[in-house]
Amino acid sequence: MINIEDQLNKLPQGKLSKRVDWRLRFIFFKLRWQNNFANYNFLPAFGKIAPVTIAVVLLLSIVCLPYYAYASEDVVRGNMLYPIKQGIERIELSLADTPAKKANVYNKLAERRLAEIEKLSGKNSATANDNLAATIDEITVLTQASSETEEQLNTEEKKQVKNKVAQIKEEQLDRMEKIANKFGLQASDNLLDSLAVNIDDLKKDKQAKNNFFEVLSEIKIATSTRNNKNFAHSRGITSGSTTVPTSTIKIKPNIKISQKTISESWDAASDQVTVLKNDLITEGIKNTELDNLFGKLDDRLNKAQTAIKSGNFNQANGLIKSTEALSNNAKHFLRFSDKATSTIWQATSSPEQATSSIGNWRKEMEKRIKDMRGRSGN
Amino acid sequence: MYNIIEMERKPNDKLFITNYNQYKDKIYTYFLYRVNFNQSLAEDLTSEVFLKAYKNWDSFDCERSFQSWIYAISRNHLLNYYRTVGREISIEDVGDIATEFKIKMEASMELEKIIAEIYKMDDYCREVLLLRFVDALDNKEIAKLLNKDERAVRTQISRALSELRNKINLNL
Repeated sequence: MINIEDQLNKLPQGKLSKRVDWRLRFIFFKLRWQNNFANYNFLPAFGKIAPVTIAVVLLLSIVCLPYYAYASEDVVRGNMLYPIKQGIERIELSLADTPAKKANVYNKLAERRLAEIEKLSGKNSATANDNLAATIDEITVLTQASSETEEQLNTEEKKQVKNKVAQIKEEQLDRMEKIANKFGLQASDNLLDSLAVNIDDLKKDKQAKNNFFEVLSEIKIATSTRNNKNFAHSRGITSGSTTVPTSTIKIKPNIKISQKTISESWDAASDQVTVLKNDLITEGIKNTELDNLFGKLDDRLNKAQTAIKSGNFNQANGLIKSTEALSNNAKHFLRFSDKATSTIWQATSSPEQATSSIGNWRKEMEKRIKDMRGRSGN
Repeated sequence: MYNIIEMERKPNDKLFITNYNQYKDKIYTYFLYRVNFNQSLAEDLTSEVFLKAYKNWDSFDCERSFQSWIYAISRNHLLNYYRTVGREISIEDVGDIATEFKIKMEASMELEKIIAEIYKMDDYCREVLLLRFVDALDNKEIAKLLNKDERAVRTQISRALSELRNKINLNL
C-alpha cells in the first residue's frame, strides 16, 4: 500500500539552467538602463559623439584658454584666468637667458600692466581699486627690475633699455594722474597710497633727471682735464636707480632708520600738511573735499606717530612718505573750480614750495659735487 | 520610519531580483510539468513570463503576494500558449510523457507510474494535484488562481487523491 501523498510530495523540482538565468539577468539589466534613459532622447546620440566632443573640448581648453589668458588685455588682476597669465609670464621670464632679454621681458610686462590698469580703472569697487593698486605697484617693480639689469648690459643695450624704461614711466605717470583725477579722494586707501606715492616718485625721478643733466654739464666742464676716475665714481653714485628712488612702496628691511631721523621726517611732513592747509583754504574747493583730504592726511600722520611711539620706524616711514606724496600731489585728487586751479597748482606742484624733498635732494647733489671738486682739486 | 516602509512597499529592481531568485525554479517547474517535460520550451516560457513580469513591475502592488501574481501571469501565459499550439493529451501520449519525465527528472519507477496516472486524469484534477503537490500552493492560493471556491478545490483535491490512490493500488 503506497502512501500517495508522500509519493506526490517527492515529485522532483526543475532547475532553471545557468545559461537562461544569466541571459534573463542581462535582459533585466539592459531594460533597466533603457528605462532610466527613456526620458533623455538626446543621450544615445550624445553617447556616440561624446568621446569626440570631450576630446575637442579638452584640446581647445588646453590650447586656447592659456593663449587667451596670456594674450587678452581683458584678463586682469581679479580675473580667474589671471593666475594662468602670471604663470605663462613667469615661464617667459625664466626663458630669457641674457640680461638684455630679461630687461626686454620686464619692459614688455610693464607695458602689459599699463594696458591692464586702463581696464581696471573702468571698474569701481573696493576689490577693483585694490587690484588696480597692486597692478600699479607691479609696474614700478618691473621697471625697477629692468633698470637693475642695466649694469650687465653693453652701452647700446643700456641706452635702449633706459629709453624704454623712461617711456614706460612717462606713460605710467600720465595714466596715474588721469586715474587719480578720475577716482579723487573716493579711491580706496590702498589705491590712494599707491597713486600718490608712485606719482610722487615718478615726478621726482623726472625732476632728478632734468637736474642731473644740468649738473652733468657743469661736471663735464670741471673735470674735462682732471680726474676722470672721480667723475666716473660720482656718476655711478648719482645715476640710475641707486640714488634716484624709483619706488618707495617697499621699504627694504635692511635700511635702519633712527628715531631722530624719523621724528624729523614726521615734523617735516606735518609742517608740509599745515602749509598745504593754509594754501588750500581758498575759494572754489568744496569743504567736504578739503575735510576728506585733511582727514586722510591727519589720519596718516597720527598712525605714523603711533608707529614711532611703538618703535615701528619702517611703518612710520611708509606712512610719512604716503603723507608727503599725497600732500605733494593733492591737486590730482581734488575737485576744484578753475579759479582756484592756478593757486593750488602753485601750492602743490612748485618744486621750491611744495615738493621740498626735490629741493633737498638738489641741495644734497650740489654739496656732493662741491666735495668732489674739492677732492679732485687736492 | 514611514518613509522606509513606503520605500519598501514601492516596487524596485532590487525587490524584483530578490523575487526572481526565489521563484525562477518554481515557475520553470510549473511549465515543465505542463509542457510534457520539454525543458527548452519550459525555459522559453519561464523567460517570457519573467520578462512580462518585469515590464509590468511598476503596476505590481507590493501589498499583494508575489507568488500569486507570478503564478497568475504564468497560468495566463500558458493558456495563451495552449491556445496557439493546442493542448490535447491522448492516452497514447501518456506513456511517452512518463518516460520523458523519468529520464529528464531522474525520477523513480513509482513516481513515473504516478505521473502517468496523473496525466490520464482530466485537466482540472491534474491541475489541482500539480498545483498542490508540485507547486506546493495551498488550497486558498489554488482557488484564487483557478478562480474557484476554496472548499470546491479542497473537495476536488480529495477526490483526485482518492482516484489516484485507487488507480495506483489497483495497478500494484
